[in-house]
Amino acid sequence: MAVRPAEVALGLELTVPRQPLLRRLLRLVRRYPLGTLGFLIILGLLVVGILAPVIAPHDVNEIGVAPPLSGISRETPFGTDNLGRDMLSRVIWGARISLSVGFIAVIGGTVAGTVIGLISGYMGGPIDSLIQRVLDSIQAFPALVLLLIIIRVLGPSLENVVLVIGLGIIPGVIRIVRGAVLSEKNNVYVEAARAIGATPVRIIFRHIAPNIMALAIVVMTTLLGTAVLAEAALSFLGLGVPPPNPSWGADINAARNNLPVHIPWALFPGLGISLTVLGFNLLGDALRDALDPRLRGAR
Amino acid sequence: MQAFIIRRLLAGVVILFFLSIAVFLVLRVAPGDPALLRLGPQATAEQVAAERERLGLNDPLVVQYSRWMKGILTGDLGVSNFSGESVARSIRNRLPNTLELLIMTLVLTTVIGITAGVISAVWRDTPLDYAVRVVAVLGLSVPALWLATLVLLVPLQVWGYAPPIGRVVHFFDDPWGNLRQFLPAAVVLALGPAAAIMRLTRSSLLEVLRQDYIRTARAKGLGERLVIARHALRNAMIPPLTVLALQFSALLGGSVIIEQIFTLPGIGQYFFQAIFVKDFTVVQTLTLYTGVVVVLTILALDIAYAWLDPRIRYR
Amino acid sequence: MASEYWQRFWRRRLGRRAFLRATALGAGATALVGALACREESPQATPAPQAEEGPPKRGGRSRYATFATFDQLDLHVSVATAASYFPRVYNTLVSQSQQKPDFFYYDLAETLEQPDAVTYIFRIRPGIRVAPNGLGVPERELDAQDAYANWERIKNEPRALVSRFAKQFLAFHAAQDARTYVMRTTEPYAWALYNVGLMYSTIAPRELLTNPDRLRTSGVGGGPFSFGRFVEGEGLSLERNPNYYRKGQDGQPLPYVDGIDVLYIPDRAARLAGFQSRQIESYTVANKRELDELMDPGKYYLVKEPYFNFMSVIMNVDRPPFNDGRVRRAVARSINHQQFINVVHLGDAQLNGIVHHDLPDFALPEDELKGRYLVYNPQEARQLLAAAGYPGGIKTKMVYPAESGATGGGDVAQYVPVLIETLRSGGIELELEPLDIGRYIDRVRRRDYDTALSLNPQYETPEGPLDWHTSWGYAGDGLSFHIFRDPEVDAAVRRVKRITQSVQELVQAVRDAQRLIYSKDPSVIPLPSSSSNNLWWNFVRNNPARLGLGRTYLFLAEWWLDL
Repeated sequence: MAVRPAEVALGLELTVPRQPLLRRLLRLVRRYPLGTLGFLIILGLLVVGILAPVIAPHDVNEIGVAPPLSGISRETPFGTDNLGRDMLSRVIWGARISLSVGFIAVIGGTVAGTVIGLISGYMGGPIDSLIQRVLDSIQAFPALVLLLIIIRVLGPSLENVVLVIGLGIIPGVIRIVRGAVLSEKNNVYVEAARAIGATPVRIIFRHIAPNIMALAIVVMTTLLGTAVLAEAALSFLGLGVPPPNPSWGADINAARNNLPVHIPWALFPGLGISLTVLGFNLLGDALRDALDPRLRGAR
Repeated sequence: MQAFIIRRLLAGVVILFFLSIAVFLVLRVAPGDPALLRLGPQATAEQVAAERERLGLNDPLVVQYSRWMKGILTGDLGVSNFSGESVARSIRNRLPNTLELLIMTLVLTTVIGITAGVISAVWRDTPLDYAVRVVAVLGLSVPALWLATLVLLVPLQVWGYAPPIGRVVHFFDDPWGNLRQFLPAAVVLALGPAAAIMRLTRSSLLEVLRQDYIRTARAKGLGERLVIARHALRNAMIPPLTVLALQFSALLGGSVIIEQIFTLPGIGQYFFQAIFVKDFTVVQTLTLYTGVVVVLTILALDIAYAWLDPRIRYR
Repeated sequence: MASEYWQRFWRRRLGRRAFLRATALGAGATALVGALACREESPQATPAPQAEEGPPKRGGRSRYATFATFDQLDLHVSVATAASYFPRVYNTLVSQSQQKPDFFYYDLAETLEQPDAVTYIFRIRPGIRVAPNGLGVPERELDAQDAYANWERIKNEPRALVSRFAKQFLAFHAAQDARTYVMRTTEPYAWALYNVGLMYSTIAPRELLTNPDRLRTSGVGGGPFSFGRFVEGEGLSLERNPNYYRKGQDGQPLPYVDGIDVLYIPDRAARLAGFQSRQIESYTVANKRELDELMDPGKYYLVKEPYFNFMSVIMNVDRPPFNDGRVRRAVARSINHQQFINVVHLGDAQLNGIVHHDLPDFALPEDELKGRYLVYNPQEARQLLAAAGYPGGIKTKMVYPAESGATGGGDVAQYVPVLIETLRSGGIELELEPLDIGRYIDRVRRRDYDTALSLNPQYETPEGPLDWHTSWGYAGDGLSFHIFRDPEVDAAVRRVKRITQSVQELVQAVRDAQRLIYSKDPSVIPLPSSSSNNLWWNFVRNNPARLGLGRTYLFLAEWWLDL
């Protein structure tokens, strides 16, 4: 599941005339240099996250690896935090946690949003109206405040952070998907399917959904960056991934609260976040250009 | 048109009604007794009981809800459970700060975003375009709270400079002090949206520049500058402006962090603190209040479309 | 000289035995109060500002930051930041420092007599006039009627913070005449005077009390300042009270400064920026490292102030396995307190016994704690667990408030990893259960937890921590989350509470009670904590915060700004 964007990016290019793999790849790289960069960044971070138990030099919560608040050195390339924990290990593990939070929340949210959007867009009528009114109510709410209230109700935990971010992105996804369905609905192939007596469920999921997939994937990629940022924001407000989990947001926040002037402590988790969001944005842009010209530049 | 506005207003009222019930129930489902939160764990049972009674938490939910609604409908926004301060007064104190921050942010977003977008589109595929686009992607990638901390601490460490902190300097008392206080916050807040607007403007303008009428304009010998300024820009502006208007509601909540870091007591911070201490009245009322603002904004937006684009009909 | 200046406010409480001797001398004993205002024991050295402060200057405004919100200005009800400013506006009868229990600050009461163990006679000081105000309160002198009206309100207002004391112990009180206010407690109670001197039990002119609604947002009294602007979310201004009765070194009325601005700055980085750019006068550093990085003797001086929040490991004695003293002792033996000092506090912290180290007289000596009660011995812990029937160690759930970052309070995140590691060494596996603060308070109050990592309720007297180990608990109603059920401990704590005659006796009794509690393997294990390291700009002179009086210093208005 975790490597999906990679498979997708390559898989979709399979529709172009068959060429030797290497050449196709090179063409892709030439055509989307920034997208390739983004892809490599994400791939790299994913590998780091997956291999965290293997490559992290220390346990995330091992205290006193080096003196507290050590700077950058041979033993601790990213320094240590105020408990003397190795920041390199924490940043590596942070990749695992922050990326899992992002992926699970966004994939869950996109799938749910897409299904609802498909139904809402295709069915129209009272179901559509109801869904739209509910969406209006939700959007009458500043998103962050909504998240805050929900997390107050559910309590802080890793799972709930995932849940809340996932819920947070659903309305946007529904709107985009619904819009796409509305324009897709009038295509001849849908008419044809209807004419041969296909059920609405079949039409939605066999005929329209595949045509929406590209769009959903593009949206998802961009949202992944947003999710990582949201996790950091929740941490700042004290409602993020609870300690002592090594999430990037939580670490930045710990640094801000304990020693605002000690730069390395917050620097590397911050770079982790920026790099992730950058990677997803670059990849998202390229995917958008490649897959769906209608969406170019929309966000 | 009139019928449309009336219908939308009615729909808005229904939305707000559901919103009010939702927030009312959610707050009461959430664990944690507001009386205990106010008094702390060491309070005696008797003190907690007295506090609950004072806050009216022992009444049935229906009674609590109708009491709140009755207040709202008669223009009484209630008082904070925590401080006993009138919510209306707090909003009055805080709204100007939030509005000033939002307006500054929106202006910066528009100016930076659209200018950069136009530059990037007009000189597309030049180093300038790439530079603008890279900056934009970076702008989207930096966490605001991280950037805000740097904006606050770097000048402090280097020059010992800090903006006015802790007390709002009002614009009409001291315009310069006011700008020093709000501008850094607005810049940080504007960075993300400006990047988004830039990208949108760029793609929208590129799209328009491919249209036939632009080719016509060029063909009849108009200068490139005139073509873009007169013909292309106006049409290219619709999508970015839509997004911009929608940013308004997003910023209303998104400014919590920035208000907190730059110590600008605004609506976002008020919301956050109220949620933190489970101040029912404040959270409920503010929710409804922002709801009204957003519903009206969206309505205004729809009406503005009708003016901008006569093809849009209202049924 | 500054030290002589401080001396003038040193009046010693008249001990009971001293009083009996005085009455034996016959009539006119009250006239001797001044002469007898000294205990049998020799007084401690007078604390005085450390540096030569130079001649006082007038003018300027003091600026402080607060990271917690203000709630309201009702002097008996407010629980938040505002409470720290009541001593600036209202008067206390007399405030006893808990850090230096010999120090009594006499304010509205000029003298205090204790003819027996339950009676307190306050002679009201003449000449304390209400500040000019727009609330319709005349600028009259405060008298005994005011004291009576305020205590009547505290007794009858269930939300008043001191209402528990007033209800439980205040048997009788009356204004015998305009200058004599008498309180009688139901039984001898060691902390009666402490409750009288709290910042929640200051005395407002009685006209104000009739309108609690107005009291919420305004007020006026006979203290050194009066309330100015109060903007929710922004802060509070206090303005100099020209009627204040105490005089400065220059013979003019105090305070020296024109006012105080208290700014609400929730974010640490912003507070630091405000402090370094001279916008606020003091800044509480997060830890030793920050202190070392910021400290610049050319600019700032450091004041270590008592800090009343600290973490404790709490076990629920009503649930297995913690109803077994051996398991509780195993937990105690598994905790490496030194590790918390070294790691969490970077060396700048002290061990906490049952009474915390910032109450130095009442706390057990550090050597004793180190040698007997806070011993780290994981082998013994494992043996104890085995003896209790857990040869493989135990696994326990620990609840704690997760959101420490936003409140600016103690940082749970720093304690948790150390705690996991140290308990594991003794065979105790922690399963963490972070809760949001509302749910946390709810759960611990219902005693629905196995173990908790807790930010303790604040206490300034040893009474609080002793109460945790009783069957009635901190709140006195058996509902508190620290409950310990041992009749011997209950009896010992009751005995302590009845000591009113001598501070020395009280100190000894408090220490002995702690030793008794330790012998029963208590369910609360306070972890080491640091005092509050406050940096002050050195233009703040003659700073009462430097006297080490705990909160009592808030009543003193003798500082000036050398700008």
